[in-house]
Amino acid sequence: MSPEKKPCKVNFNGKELPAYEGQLAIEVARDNGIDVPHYCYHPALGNPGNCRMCVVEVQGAPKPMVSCRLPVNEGMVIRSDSEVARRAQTSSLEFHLVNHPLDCPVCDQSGECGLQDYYMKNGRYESQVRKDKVHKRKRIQAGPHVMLDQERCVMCTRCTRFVDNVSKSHDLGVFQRGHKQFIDVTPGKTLDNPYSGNVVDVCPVGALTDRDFRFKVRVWYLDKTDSVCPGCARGCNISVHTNTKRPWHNGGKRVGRLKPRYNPDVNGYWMCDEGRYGYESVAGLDLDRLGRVMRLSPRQELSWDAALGELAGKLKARGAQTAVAASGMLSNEDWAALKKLSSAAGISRFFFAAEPDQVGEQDELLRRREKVPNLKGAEAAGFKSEGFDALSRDLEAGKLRVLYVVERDLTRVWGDRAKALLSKAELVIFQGPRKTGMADLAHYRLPATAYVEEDGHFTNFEGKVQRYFQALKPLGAARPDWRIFDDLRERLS
Amino acid sequence: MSETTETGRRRKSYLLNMGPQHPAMHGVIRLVLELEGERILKSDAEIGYLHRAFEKHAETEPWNNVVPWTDRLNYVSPLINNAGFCLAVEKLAGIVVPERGQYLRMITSELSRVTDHLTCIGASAMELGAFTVFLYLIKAREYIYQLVDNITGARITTSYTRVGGVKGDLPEGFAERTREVFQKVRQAIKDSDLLLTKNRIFMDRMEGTGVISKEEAAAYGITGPFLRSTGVPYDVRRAHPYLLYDRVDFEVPVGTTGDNFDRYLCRMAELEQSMRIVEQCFDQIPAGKHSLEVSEMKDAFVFQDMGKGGQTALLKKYMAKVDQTLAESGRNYRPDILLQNPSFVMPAKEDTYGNIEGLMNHFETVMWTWGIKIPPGEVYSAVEGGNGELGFHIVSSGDDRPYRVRCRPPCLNPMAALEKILPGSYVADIVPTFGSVNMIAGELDR
Amino acid sequence: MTTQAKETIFTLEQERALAKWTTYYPYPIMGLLEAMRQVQEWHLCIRPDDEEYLARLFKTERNHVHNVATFFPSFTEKPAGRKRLGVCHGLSCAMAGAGKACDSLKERLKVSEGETTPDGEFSWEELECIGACDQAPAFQVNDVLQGPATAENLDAALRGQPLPRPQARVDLASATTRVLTQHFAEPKLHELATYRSLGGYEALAKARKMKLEDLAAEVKKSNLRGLGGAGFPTGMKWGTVPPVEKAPERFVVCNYDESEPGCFKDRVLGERAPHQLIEGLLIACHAISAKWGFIFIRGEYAAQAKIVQAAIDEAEQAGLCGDVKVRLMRGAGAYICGLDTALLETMEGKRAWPRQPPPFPTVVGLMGKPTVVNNVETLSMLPHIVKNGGDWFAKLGVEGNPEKRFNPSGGTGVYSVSGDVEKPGIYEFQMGTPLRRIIEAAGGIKGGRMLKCVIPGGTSTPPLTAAEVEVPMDFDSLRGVGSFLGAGGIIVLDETRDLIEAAHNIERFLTHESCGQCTPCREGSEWTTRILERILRGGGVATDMTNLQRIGENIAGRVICALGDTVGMVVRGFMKKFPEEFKRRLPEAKS
Repeated sequence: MSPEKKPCKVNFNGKELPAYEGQLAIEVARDNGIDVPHYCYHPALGNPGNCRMCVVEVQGAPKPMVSCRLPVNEGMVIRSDSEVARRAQTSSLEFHLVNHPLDCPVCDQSGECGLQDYYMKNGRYESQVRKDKVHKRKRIQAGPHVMLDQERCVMCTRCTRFVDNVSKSHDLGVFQRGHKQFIDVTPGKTLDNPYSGNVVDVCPVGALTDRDFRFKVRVWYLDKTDSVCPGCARGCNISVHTNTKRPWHNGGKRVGRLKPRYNPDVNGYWMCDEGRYGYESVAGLDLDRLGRVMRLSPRQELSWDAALGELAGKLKARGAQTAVAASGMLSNEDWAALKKLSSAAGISRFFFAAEPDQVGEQDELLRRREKVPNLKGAEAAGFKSEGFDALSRDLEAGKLRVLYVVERDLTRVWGDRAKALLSKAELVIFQGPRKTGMADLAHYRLPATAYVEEDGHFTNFEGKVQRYFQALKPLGAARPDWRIFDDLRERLS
Repeated sequence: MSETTETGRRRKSYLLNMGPQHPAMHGVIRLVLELEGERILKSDAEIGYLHRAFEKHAETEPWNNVVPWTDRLNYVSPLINNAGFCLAVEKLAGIVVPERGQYLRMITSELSRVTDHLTCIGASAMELGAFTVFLYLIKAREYIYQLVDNITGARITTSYTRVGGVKGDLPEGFAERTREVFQKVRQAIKDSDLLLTKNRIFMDRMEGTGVISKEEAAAYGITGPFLRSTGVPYDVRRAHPYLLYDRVDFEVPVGTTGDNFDRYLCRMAELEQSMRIVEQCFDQIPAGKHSLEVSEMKDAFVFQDMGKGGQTALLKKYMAKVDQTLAESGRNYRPDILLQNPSFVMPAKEDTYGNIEGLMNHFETVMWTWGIKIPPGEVYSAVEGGNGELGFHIVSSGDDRPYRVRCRPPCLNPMAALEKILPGSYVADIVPTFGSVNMIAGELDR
Repeated sequence: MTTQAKETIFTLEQERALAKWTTYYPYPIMGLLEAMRQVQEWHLCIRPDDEEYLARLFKTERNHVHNVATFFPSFTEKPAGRKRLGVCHGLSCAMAGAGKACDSLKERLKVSEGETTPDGEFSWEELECIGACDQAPAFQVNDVLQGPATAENLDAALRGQPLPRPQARVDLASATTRVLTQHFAEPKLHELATYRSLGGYEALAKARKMKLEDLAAEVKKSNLRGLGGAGFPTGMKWGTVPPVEKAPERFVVCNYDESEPGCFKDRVLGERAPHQLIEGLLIACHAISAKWGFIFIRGEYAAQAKIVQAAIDEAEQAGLCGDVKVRLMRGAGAYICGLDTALLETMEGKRAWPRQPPPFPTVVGLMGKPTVVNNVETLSMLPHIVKNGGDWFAKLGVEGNPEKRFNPSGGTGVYSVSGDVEKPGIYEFQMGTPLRRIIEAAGGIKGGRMLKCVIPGGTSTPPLTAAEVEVPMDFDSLRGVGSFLGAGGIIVLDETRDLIEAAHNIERFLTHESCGQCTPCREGSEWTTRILERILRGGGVATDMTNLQRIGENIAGRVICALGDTVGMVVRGFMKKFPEEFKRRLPEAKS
């Protein structure tokens, strides 16, 4: 970005639009809600100008020009919807389709395909092809998450630019020349960089598709909800795509896939594979869930009222001997409610550090070391975490008799020792969305909602508070954590 | 309410419930009558027993998917409903069906009108005791139904029209068969006419009963035979010609007294006029391309395999031999009967199987987030149904499904007028009056 | 990914040889292409291990190296034969019977095109124009031109016996004034001593004493225009180079990647008069204060490259180069490298995808530095311009007419004449000479047949009918008849020739050479070729001409480079000038 951006006015499709001198025409259009068809241009990946779709008519120019390589200046008159421009755009589309395979029925991109959309908007011409189509390889497992089909590729090179410039893993490349050219995995590599799923997002056609999502459900059956990824402290903005109206698709799973949302301050256009394919968010969301409120000894399913009543009784006056083991999975609302509950119950021992089981790789692009979204929220609410060693020590010593575990699997923290340690406590309450290893080690099971089943806020590692919206209805008797805390607090008084 | 009779005895009125279960209350309708002896003091019609939320359903379905719902409106003349709805949508979209398609819509509409009137007259006659007439006319109706089955594949759930045209073309030899059928139908009408029109009992029951004046009929918004029996020559096909009705010659029968008998006469006359229209259409209809030489046919699955495998070199030379149920979706039939506009209509099967553009077009017009996008706006369009002006008021928000569809049922108005017509007459008069309303519950309640 | 021990891939000597390429050019990555060529020579292919090694050596990525290795046909994934035969099937060679030669090779070697004999000794390929149209149907072994693929010559090749370098016919008598070929009667012109005895390198000395503005002015006055195909005024191009204070590092690149079918003049100019070229290159380097001068020579000119390198060594030894380093780089089999921005990309060790100016190469060129790219013939003219003055040069050619928007063309043009003529070869004539005169100088139509069609400037230029041969051969006159001068490759077709075959030959060439970057050229070229093939097979349909017209219109002007424009123009040119050829083979259009 140059220091002096001189504002100017550009006449685009008959409207006076504000722009900057030297700004690309396609960006001027995009900033003002005009969609010029394009494939190769991407704001984060550059403008090679090789698809020739974004041609526009410029007054005074002898032929249509590609708007992604056209810097504007004051008073330029541009039309992307004139006869000349549309015919030029349609002719580029026709060339893209000459060798395109008839894959729509089996292609996952159907419904969000650049070729389909532009054909119906602008094209609608009759095919004049009387030759066999050029054949390339199909159904290539490019990596653990991505499927490659070379015939569908329109050679926009967005994917190769992504792996060369963003993920810097160089695992895709353009090989051969001319009409026999294709995109392929670099020999000797697989497409297994930590951001491989993003090439599926940038690919405008069905050449690169999600293996995870392959053939599961058609995209037009999906409902989209804005949310925040709970995979790490970055808090990438995501969109949760759910399929609830047709449970016979997608194997009954309610979440179809996660896609990143653009946020220039947090994650740009990308998200990492760990977050995108997070088992607990996508495939495993509906598995091994806690659905019922249970007391385990004697074993009985309780109503919320009954359970909370019993627990309130047991927690009264035991505040000093109570420890709360939690994690950064709790939302800001959860932390606030927990604060109030702790004050009311006199609880002062908190253990929610990410170590040892909720840490992982960190890199310069997006991933953060803490694999939970909201440790900052705890900090902001005034909590301080002690180490889990202290917890195990105090349990052994008998100093702590009540353990309230919220969204934390202590078997992952302590491994085999967990069972023994937990048996030292008189009362173990386990609250969370899924059973994990804790389900059989607790005295009470309280089902909580997963993040897609509630509204809330996460605060990321830079202190940015981000709202996530409810995408699904809670399963069974599950309730948001904050509501359980609040209800419990009311019963204590 | 009581009155003293001439003999001084107190009279009491009582409420009689007629329907919804009643042999003469065809469809499902309830008449609550306040009777004094046999004389009707007040009548109140309760409708809605067959309300199936057609208009609400239409908001959830893509445009073409609403057409099967329209079959179930006036279910004795479904093809008129199909045509009416699609005409309204096309009016909003600003597209016009190819000529042959328009003729096909006219032919099928008139066949439907014939079945509607045959049913009405037959059922009314039966309720007055003329069982033979019922059998004659229902048999005639059977022949027509077979013709309709021939074209559309079904007797009453026809779903024949699409936005932009019709689903299928006339089978081989259809015109000859229709002419033969019309001979039989005319014979049946003649026989019924001989049995009924000068029949003492029939005339006594029908003449002078169910009288409505011109002004009252107009005030209630009544149209169709009910209105024309009062002497007002309003027929939508004449007043606001749609399809190609201005190219055919037909009369609009008009009555004088506005009683049941005139309505019966109007309907009998309209039968003949409808058949006249159909015969003229057969003379005028432009030849379909399938009458030209057909190039080499390949089975549809071979087409699909070749297309999917990218062996598209020769596919433009071939025609696809598709299954019976998809008949007339091939390239040589289609341009006659369906407007070849990719925004509104699916492409011919050769294009769907044979090239990517056709396949994408097919996909996008079928799948849920794209579909057929009718430009935003609203329109009211009416056709002449069996009972009168069948109107569709459609509002589009630019989406692939309607925002609002309002169907103006022609038999709602006469039903409303019953509260004016019936009081003062006898219970026995309800039967012919109600029969001549030709209330079809599917249309009334939607 | 396995990393084999270094010893199994290359010997120590080989490693040293490869490492030299990282320092031979001003930037290490520029050596990638030559290093890869070296590996191809040793291993007869580029193996995965080789790619890994090269990626490490040149500090780049494997996908980049594999990209380059698969882009250029010189590099193979499977071992080529130790003797790699290539038969040209460009237009002139196809007309002369290249197809029969290929059939004969297939029969004798018992392997298909592109395959290697079981003993690894021979492999054969069909090549696009190798710049030897005068030797049609030409063939080469291991990038060394052997001559026409007659039965005897093929015999010799298959016996492993190299043939003497074919001598091109250079016309010494027909023209009044010749500039570049004036001394070509002298067989030892390529030796430094001989060249100097004829006045060589005097112009360079003179230029070095001139003021840079004066030198630039002389070149501008001379009306010298780019003779590689674009015809851009050389003086104007030099004028767009930013001043030395703003950008101290700049380069001059000689475009010796002559690949236009029908053109072989650069081959002859370089092998007969390499010093003339070097002198011109050094003058250009001086004019823009460049310290490096590159000569990018196509890979198929292996013999010529040796000659030029020998001349460079002579000049260096004699101290003539001064502080300028002159470096040769050899191409690897891509016509697109003849385009200036694609050439620069290749020199940067990448695939040859043209750039989209602005900025132009003279501002941002090789490795981001200002670069002047000039053709062999253009550079060769410079010593003569300096010696005799720009005015003299301009007078030899054609004046301009500003009212008619007619631009001048200075000096002479060296024309490659091939096809159905008695004496194919090199003919130098002054700008403005009528085409007919040149054809007559070449002996007229072979066998006394009738002329049907002439392609004036290489197959990228639209064809002319027999009635149009009076047209003067200069840049602007040819535009008037719907064609252009291009690189002056004149191909003559007589009455027996099928013009749809000719159009198909050219489109097939373009499809093969399309770099694949932008969609209209990549897909449209292949589509056009298939349509023409179908017509040739007898499967033409009534809509073919309209479709070809429409496709052509949709490609030309909508693509990144001139190759794409050519794809869109060639068939339309044939259809416009020879419509009956097409109509004859297509059924009547139904209304």
